Amino acid sequence: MAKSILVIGDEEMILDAIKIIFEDMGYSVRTTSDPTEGTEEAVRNDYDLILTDIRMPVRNGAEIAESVLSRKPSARILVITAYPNDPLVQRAMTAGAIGLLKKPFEIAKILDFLK
Amino acid sequence: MPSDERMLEHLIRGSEELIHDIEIQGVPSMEQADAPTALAPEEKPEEPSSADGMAAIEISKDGLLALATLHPPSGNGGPLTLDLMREAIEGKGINTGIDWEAMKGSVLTCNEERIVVSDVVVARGRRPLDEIPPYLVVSEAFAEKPKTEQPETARINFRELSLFTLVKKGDVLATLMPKQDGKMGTTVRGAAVAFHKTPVPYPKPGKNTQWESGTVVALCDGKFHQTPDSFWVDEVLEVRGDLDLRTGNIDFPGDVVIMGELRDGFVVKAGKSILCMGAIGAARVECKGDLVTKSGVLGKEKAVLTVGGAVEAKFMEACSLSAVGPIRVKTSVMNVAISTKDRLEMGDRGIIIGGVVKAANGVSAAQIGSERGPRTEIHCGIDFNVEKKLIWIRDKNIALAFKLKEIETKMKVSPGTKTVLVPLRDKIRTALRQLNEGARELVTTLDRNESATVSVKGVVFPGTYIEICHISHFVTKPRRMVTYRLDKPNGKIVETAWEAP
Repeated sequence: MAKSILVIGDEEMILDAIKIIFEDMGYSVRTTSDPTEGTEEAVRNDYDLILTDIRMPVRNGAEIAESVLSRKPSARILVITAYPNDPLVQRAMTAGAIGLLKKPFEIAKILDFLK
Repeated sequence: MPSDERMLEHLIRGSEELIHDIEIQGVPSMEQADAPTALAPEEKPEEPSSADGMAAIEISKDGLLALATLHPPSGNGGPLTLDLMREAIEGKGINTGIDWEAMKGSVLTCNEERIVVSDVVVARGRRPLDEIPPYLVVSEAFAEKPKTEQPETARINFRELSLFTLVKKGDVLATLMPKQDGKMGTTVRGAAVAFHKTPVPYPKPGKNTQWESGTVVALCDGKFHQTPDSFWVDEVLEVRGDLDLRTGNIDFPGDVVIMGELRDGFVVKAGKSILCMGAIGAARVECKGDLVTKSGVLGKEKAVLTVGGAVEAKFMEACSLSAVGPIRVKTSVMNVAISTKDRLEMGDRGIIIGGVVKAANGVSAAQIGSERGPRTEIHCGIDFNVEKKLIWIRDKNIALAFKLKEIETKMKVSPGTKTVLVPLRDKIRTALRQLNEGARELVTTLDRNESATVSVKGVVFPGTYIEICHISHFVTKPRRMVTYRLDKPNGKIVETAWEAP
């Protein structure tokens, strides 16, 4: 079965690009621009990798990581950020996120974490 | 009695005694093993057997060395004497290079301490001296020097690392060493040993060089090059002062030397290396070879340097540098975007503050970050040129995905446009597929150096971000004398005591 990715972000264009690229590579990709829905989806279903933008209205990526990992510690979350030193990134990492992606996203790094 | 016969007698006697002992005592069984062993009342301890001291001599395969093993006398046997030694030596036909002094001491030890003395030098032959045909030695001033580090401080000696060696017309580049005659050798039995001819490998003189009474000289001013097989001089384009409005931009197929500064807004392209004696300003520099500045780079956030080889500078500030080879900066790298397929090596007191450093094979510095300065990012372990291509693919993908969405929306709103837009949509889809295929292939060539390290001899300040093979690490407290490396099985970066890279 194809490995699955969940992407949570508020930039539709980026979500589309990730979906096109990784579906083309044989992965199953689900995207959502609603952070609350994304959080619940991440807990409800098993994804091999969850990508979440760090700065979003309503709910940020650190809160998503904390919420998902407190309920599903096995979840593998990568946060997407423009600034690695953003305090929210460090908060997400402390919560158990496994790494970060530089905006808009890094193909090689995502593939590395899907291995 | 000749020594060989004596040895044989010694051996036979010893063996017979051993067999005799076994016959008398019988082979012990498991039941007997723990039982106390007592002598039968009528049994008496045997008198020890007697044998004279003796020497066994061996000659090496090449006949150049004879060694003896000296056996002490046993029981009431006679001592090993020099006469017995002489007898053994003569018996072996040894007549050259006999070392009586070495033997005397060993014989004495053997007799007095009653121990076997091994590897006693009896005689040494004379090794042949090989004939060495004439060969060239490159002058020390130009010879390639290996990278040296002072062991205590692991300090890089930047003076020895110069990538750019300039020569003047007539400079002696190499000197011919005369032929060394061979000499026959002799074995310990006095036989002659032939010598060999051993040529010394040396680089041959190449372009722009000339023989001149036992030396090779430069035929023109230029840059000296040396490989294991050859050395030569390349003519260089020399800019006598600054590179500015008087000279204009430069595009030269060979090496370029700028004796002054490279001023803001100018472009220099070289098919080989560039040496700039002064500072490099907000300029564009492209070279297929090395880039050396005896000063530094003051990029004003506009300088873009693309280098096919190594880079050497005293400092770098606010520029973008991409190199294939190692980058060596003596004092400071501040707010620079660096990428190299090799290492970034800072001098003994070299600091990196701000900017993004991508060095596939790692980084070594005295300090990274600062107390209140800009944050610093260090990325290692990945071939960043491949990553750059992947970024290009990603950006094209994003643009195409956007177009695709636009087309699909348009077709929904105005179905009449389908005849025009469907072929275009299909074209975009094909292009996307091709891009993603390219990305997949590139990822397989994304060489990883999992042993890349970040070594900091002084302090790493909080706010520094370190990434090795895509694994992230945030420095949250000041750390001193540390090396960061990848702990692959646990998927994290670990911090160990500082090690010289």
